[in-house]
Amino acid sequence: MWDWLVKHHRHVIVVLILIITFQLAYSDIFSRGPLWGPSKFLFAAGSSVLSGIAGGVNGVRGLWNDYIALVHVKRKNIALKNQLAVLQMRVKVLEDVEIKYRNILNVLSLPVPQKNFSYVTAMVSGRDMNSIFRSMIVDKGVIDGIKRGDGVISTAGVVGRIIRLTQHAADVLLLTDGGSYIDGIDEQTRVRGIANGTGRDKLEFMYILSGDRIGVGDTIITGGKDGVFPEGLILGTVTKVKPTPRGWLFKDVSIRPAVDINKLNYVMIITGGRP
Amino acid sequence: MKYAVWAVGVFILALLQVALNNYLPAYLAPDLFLMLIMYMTLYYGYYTTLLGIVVLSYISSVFSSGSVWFFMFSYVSVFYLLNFFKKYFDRKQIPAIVTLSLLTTLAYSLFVLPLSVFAGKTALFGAAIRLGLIQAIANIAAACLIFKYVPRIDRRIETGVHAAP
Repeated sequence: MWDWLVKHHRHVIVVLILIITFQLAYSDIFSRGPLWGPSKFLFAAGSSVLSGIAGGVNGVRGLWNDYIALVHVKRKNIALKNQLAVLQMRVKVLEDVEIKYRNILNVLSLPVPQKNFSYVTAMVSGRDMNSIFRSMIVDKGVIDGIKRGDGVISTAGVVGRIIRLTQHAADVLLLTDGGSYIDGIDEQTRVRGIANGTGRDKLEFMYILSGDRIGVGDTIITGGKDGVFPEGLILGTVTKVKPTPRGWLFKDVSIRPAVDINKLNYVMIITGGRP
Repeated sequence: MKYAVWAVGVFILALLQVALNNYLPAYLAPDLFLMLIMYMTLYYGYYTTLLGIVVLSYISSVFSSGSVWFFMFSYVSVFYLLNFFKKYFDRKQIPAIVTLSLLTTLAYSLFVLPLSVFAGKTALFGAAIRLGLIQAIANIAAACLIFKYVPRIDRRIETGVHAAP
């Protein structure tokens, strides 16, 4: 036995390492521990370099987009002005509806949802080392008033939440990551569920009972119950509802995120006014 | 001293990887660390490679939302598989690098399977395989550059692949 161990000691070492790390990796596959010690130093140093690179690249992109690629801008400007006028009218109507809604809530002594939240704009300076996981580095940190757990959004909808941060940089867990869970509601039918990332460019909308009404094309918005995002931010659109076999409890629902994660250059981090 | 230089080089490689992932689509950005592990398995000593894998796993976890154990498990698995197969690649430089790169990419994707199944995230495995298949070409290109430019740290020509292309 001892001779066999001595002869095959290399294989034994590797197999032992694999068994131990498998146990640890399985229990810790979506580890989101805060940064400390050398990790914090390496992350801070790396993110400074990366934000320098991102600043340079965005500068060149900006030069191109702002000064050189201006063909058809005038035509597009007119179209956008028309669109803006239509949207402004719609906002007026919705503001009127909102005032009535808040008055009703006051009369009924129900809690009035918080309307405004403050945010900090941040530049995306890097993406996750490994394509299986989905996170990105932004150039704002503790000194900008950001805390662990803050929500991150863009003009299109929800992006993710802050999981680790240093003085000048932060790591954002994207909503498409397998470890991301966000409270959501079907805007049309008010069915509530949890939007969970899959590691790909789609989400699963979990815990939808087989009897619940939910259809392809429905918009899923944040539910406001997770203490991170205010209610009403767009998560995505339902792309697939798999028919439930008899006896199954939950439906299999897929969502396409509203935000194109791969094209994000700037994001907004919600720093105050959370629900 | 050369180990310190190596560690700094790995840190720069990690930043390069993060920047590449930011500016390139996923299938065009090679997995530099995976290719470096392949190179180390062929040209570095057994224990030096294992030590290197620990460092690479740690740095990966700093710039990723995955845990250090996840990286260690997948990297050591790939190392073990390559260590077993390397003797079959004899003196054919470019074909050997191409085949090994493909094997490494596929092996890495496969080793995500047990973890994703146990964590209840089988979609992760699908994502890894899909990405691995289309990322393979970028990985081959990265492997050629690594074979050409990364210095050999402690030894040896006992493997089948004898020289950089």
